[in-house]
Amino acid sequence: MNNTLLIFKDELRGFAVSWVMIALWVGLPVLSIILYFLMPGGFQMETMPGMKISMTYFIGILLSSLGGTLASIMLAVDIVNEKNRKVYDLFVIRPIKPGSILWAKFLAVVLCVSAACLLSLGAGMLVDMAQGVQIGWLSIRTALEAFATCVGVMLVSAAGGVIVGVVSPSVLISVLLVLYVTQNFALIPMAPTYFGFPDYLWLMQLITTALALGIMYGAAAIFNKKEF
Amino acid sequence: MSSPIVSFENVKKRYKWFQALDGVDLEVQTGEIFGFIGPNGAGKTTTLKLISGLLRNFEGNIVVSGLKLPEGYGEVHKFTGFLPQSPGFQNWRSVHSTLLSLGLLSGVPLPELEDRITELLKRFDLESARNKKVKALSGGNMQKVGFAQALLHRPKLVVLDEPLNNLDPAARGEVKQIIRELKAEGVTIIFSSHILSDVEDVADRIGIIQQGKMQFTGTTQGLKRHFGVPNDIQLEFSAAPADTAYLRGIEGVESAQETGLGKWLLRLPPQQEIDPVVDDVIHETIAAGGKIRMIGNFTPSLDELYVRYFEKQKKQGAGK
Repeated sequence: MNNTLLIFKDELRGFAVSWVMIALWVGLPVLSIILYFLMPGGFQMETMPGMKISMTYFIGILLSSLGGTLASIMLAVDIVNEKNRKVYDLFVIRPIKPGSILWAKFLAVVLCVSAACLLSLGAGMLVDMAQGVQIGWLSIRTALEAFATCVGVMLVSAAGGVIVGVVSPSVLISVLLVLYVTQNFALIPMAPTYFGFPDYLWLMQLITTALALGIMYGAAAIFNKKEF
Repeated sequence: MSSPIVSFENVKKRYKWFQALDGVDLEVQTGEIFGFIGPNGAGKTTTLKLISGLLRNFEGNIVVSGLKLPEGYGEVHKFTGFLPQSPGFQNWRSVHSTLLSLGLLSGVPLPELEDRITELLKRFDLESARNKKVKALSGGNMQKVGFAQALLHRPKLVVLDEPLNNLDPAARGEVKQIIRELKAEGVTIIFSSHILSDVEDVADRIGIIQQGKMQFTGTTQGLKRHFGVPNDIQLEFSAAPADTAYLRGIEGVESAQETGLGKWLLRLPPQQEIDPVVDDVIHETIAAGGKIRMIGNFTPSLDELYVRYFEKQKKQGAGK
């Protein structure tokens, strides 16, 4: 079996059973729901005053900003920790490219956090249904668009988290770099909206994928040259 | 004479501010146990990391089993096992999961790997730890897991950086036995240690590295000669004569020093034959009314010689 795939399966298992992910899968939907109900009077739609924002829409907005940050910090902290504890020594002495470890981690975290986002959106739709909101094509489309945006932003943020993990000497520095530097990468895919592109979602997906791939290839190249 | 499996020719390695290796020449023969000793920061770990591929940028020539490095690392990894100084493991893994994953990455097919893991856990007395999280293990057991992962793919070259670290005396004995068994299976072993008596116990040849330069390579006997083993006689009286001044007068005795109650150390010149002096000591002691419990050639341990050697080197360095 391909070694990158092997590490990916392992990382997926590792993240899936980690306390952070379990907390995320349960905590993210619960937190979103609590926040929604805590807001006095609920959220109002900007374009239609008096019209309350649906739970699905609210969670979509929340996840777009939270999902990327979470994935990015998870990756950066995990890579710095494992690097400092010399975990990679046992991988690098085997017939694999060090960069494969980063690709495997990146894909595993993106998949895990995406699953958490889907769960949250699903929970939002359930709450909407319970509140009597009709779940039609528009609601589903809103949820899917929110999910696509969330994954796009997450791809770029997660790739940023990987490169931060590779270059940071400590967890503290990595968290600061993620919060103050790489989080801004996620703004780049939003650029088309400023230029008034009508159907910016597909363009955004293209930009996020290209940007994430570029950052990941850079991180893998640095890691391949790194001495342990 | 067997062929060298590892060969270093004028190898230099520099970290940002520090010249770790400064023209190292070294040959390790196929099937031998090579022990590496040297003070902290001498370049032992750097040398072992260069063989294993954790460090890849260097000057000079390194050839492992006919493969020139760094180009040959991909192939070298297939037949080399490495135990780093402090092996790190992913916290969420059990011992079995760790070995399974690392074994698969080394290219061992799954059914064979399960058998190999069982065999190694038994060999390292880790069967009861099979399903425990690695992070919950003691330092010694973690070290054993580190050693076990190096053997998963039945390597023909095993590189061990301080393999006896964190181990209690019983476990040290077990690991030394495993090293000997590996040699019997035809595996070449290169290991470093601070515990010189352990190196002396298992190594066929020893290499001393200091300040990034190989100071010596050879057998333990050769090393003792290199260190300059003193030509001494150790003497212990069961009943000491009233006057021991005669000891200093025996022909061939350079000096006589009382080292404890009834215990003496007689120093001879380097070229002095020891047996005639021993005969004279016995005769003259009896004549003086004393009785001898033990007499013989005194050979200091490798640890004592090592300390003396590096103290001498330090003094010479300071004198320059």
